[in-house]
Amino acid sequence: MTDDDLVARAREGNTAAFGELVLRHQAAVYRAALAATGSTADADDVAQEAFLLAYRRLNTFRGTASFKTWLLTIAWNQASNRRRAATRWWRRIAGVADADAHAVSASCFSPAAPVTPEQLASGGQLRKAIREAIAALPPKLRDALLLAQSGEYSYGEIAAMLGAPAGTIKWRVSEARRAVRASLRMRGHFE
Amino acid sequence: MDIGTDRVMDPMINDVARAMTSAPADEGLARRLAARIAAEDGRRTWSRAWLLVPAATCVLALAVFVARENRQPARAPIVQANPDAVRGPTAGPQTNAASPPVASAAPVTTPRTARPTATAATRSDRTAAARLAIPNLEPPAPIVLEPVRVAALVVVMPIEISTIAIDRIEIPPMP
Repeated sequence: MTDDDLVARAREGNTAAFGELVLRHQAAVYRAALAATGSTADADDVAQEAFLLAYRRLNTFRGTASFKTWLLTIAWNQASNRRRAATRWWRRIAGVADADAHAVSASCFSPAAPVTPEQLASGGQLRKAIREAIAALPPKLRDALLLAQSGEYSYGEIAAMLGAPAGTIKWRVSEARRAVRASLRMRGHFE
Repeated sequence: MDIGTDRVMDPMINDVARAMTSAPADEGLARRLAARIAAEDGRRTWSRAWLLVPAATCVLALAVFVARENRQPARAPIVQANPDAVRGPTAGPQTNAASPPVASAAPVTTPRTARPTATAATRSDRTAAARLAIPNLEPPAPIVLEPVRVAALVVVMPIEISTIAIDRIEIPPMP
């Protein structure tokens, strides 16, 4: 059964059909939320809110884009709102200037998977440095890199989520890699 | 820029970026979501029910109002006692309007202004009485008034004014 069929049934009040849609797309929604917030707890909340919002707005889905793209756009907006609210909160608490906004955002960004002792033993330090360099990227570059490398989305879907042309997204991914490489070289890696 | 180093670094960067979003989604998400949707639907049903009560009350009140309006007769023009109406036989229609039967029916035509707190039952009784009284109206006899003679309040007395005589003034020439 296609997504459109399930959407049609869910519109008629069939919650089981919507449950099937949740199972199909929860990984994609969760990953997008994790890429935006950097926190598993926040990603859980955002994913739940996004699905709930999608359920409420199911009648507004016109089918011009795929259901997945529509859902991901909702999830990304929810995640962005949460991230913005967190940044504002940090600014208010710490009195951080606008120029340091993305640094605050990066400080909120905690790695999804903690570094294990085995990783530390086998090049874990380099991976940790890369992780920190990615976290320190400006949000636009970091978002594009994380979403593109998750392997979950096409460039078209990322473009719809971030509200930018696919070509711009590709450029941002490339620019993000370049910035991370430069950061690693500054830290003494790959000299 | 070292292209050889970039070829080594890029896969590592991609790998770390993938790992940063690779945490598995919560398995209980679908279950929690279903529970929230069910709760929300239930709440929505309750809120609809709560909305239904005032809506039904409004509709009922409107229906009562409309029914009451339909039971009332078409409003007759409000009759007022006009002092200019008493002018003898030439003031035919106005004297008709001021005649006693119509005057007795006048309060019926303006029941609200007369008694705002009257119940629906009393109003309907009066309306019925007015319906019965109106067909019995007969054209009243013209009122003939005797001319009243009034004595003049002011008597004009003629005033006689004597002519004014001015004597000639002789002015002697200047020295």
